[in-house]
Amino acid sequence: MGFSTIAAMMSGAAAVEAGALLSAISTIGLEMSLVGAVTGSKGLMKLGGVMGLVGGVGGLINGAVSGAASATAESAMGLGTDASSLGAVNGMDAMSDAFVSSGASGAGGFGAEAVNGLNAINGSDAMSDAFTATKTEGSFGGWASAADDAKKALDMTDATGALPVANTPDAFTFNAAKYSQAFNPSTAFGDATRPLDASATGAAQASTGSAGNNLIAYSADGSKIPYRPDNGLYGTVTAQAPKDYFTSFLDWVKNKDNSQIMMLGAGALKGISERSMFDEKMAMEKSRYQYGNTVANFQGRQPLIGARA
Amino acid sequence: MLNDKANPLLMKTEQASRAKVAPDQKAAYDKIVAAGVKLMYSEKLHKMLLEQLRQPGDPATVAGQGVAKLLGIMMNQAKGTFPMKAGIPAATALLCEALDMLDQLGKIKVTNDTVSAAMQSLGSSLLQLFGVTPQKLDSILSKQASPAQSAMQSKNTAQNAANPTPAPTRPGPQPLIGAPA
Repeated sequence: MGFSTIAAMMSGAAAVEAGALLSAISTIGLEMSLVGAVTGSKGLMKLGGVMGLVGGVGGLINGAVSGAASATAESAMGLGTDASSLGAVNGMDAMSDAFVSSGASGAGGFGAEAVNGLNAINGSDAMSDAFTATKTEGSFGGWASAADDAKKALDMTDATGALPVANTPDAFTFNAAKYSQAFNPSTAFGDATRPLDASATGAAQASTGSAGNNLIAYSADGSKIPYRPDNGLYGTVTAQAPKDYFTSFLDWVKNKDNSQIMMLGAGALKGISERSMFDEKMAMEKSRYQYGNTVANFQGRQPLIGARA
Repeated sequence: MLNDKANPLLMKTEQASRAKVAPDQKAAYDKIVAAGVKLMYSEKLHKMLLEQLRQPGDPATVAGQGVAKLLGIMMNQAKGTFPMKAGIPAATALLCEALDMLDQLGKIKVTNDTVSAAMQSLGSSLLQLFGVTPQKLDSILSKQASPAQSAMQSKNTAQNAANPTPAPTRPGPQPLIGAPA
């Protein structure tokens, strides 16, 4: 399973809410600091500290702004005490059993899940049906007929087979006969029963929500980009190297003038604190005022003492 | 989850990580680790594991990426109910498990640097799986900074609407002191 595929599935199927994201960043930072402390790695501790700062301050701001949302996220993401969270964790055992027994590297199981996940992301059942047909039939005849079905589903009635691609400016010509000769699943996929997966390009496009006919990468002239087994299913082509990733992150932190993150966090917290104090004071004044209204502190229409009748 | 024969450094790391897990998260942590180990060594995922081990580059870095992907699969299966505060420490435990396996296979020699590199890789891979980029953080912070005040104001307005302050009752006209009736 490729890195990009998992990332695409996560971004499409289970979008991480901002508060949970910041909480995750903070937790990852904490873990990195902790492991850095155990191994004596100052670099890891520093990185963890930065991540904790970013996630922590961001989480505080986010929590202050949307308390209800954060509370929901907390209960969902899991203090572990609520039923849904524990249920999910308990269910994980069953999930792993089912996952294992279903054949993660076979034609069903997680492969099917991956197809469903990609369907949800790119919204094209037709193309996945085409792929499923290809996968199960194991011959390109299946692909050609499935491609026809896909064309019908996409309402493309051009007799020449011109298949406009939503995310490219120019339509490319889709010639089923040509691909029926050029495409050999036994060599292209290696193992016909391997789970269907998107290529790196396909997954990247899928994550952007572009149209669904992009699960196989094509070059501009319509020729299929050679399948790279190591990059498609199990590859890490889109995973940035840790050093590069954290360098960009640290640069981002450095580029904030006078640690803008801290200022942002501190400013927000100061405002929240002041607002909180103001609210408390107003609440006290309000209760005092209301109490005053319940007590007759004036006498109303009465002849004043000493006044003439 | 590591047995007594595991590398002492890895055991120490795992124990330190587990010790920091909140008490109410321990059960979730244990279950995630158990499920992760089960998946890691499952026959069906064997191929994925081997492919992962064949990845070019530093084995420790590759292990970190692999564990991140494993966690990503589990999170995806949990459909948004994955307890993050237990899951991230559990990923550290799974990383220790993977490093121990690589150590026993003779692929790596577990040292402080190896564990650090693997943890860095795990952290970076997880953050990338979550889609965390500087641009994303910029957008989150800019979104959170501006509505802060308006959110406060709307909260106050809502409170005032729910509990309207009673208008002060004026005592009304009273005869002036010394005035004729």
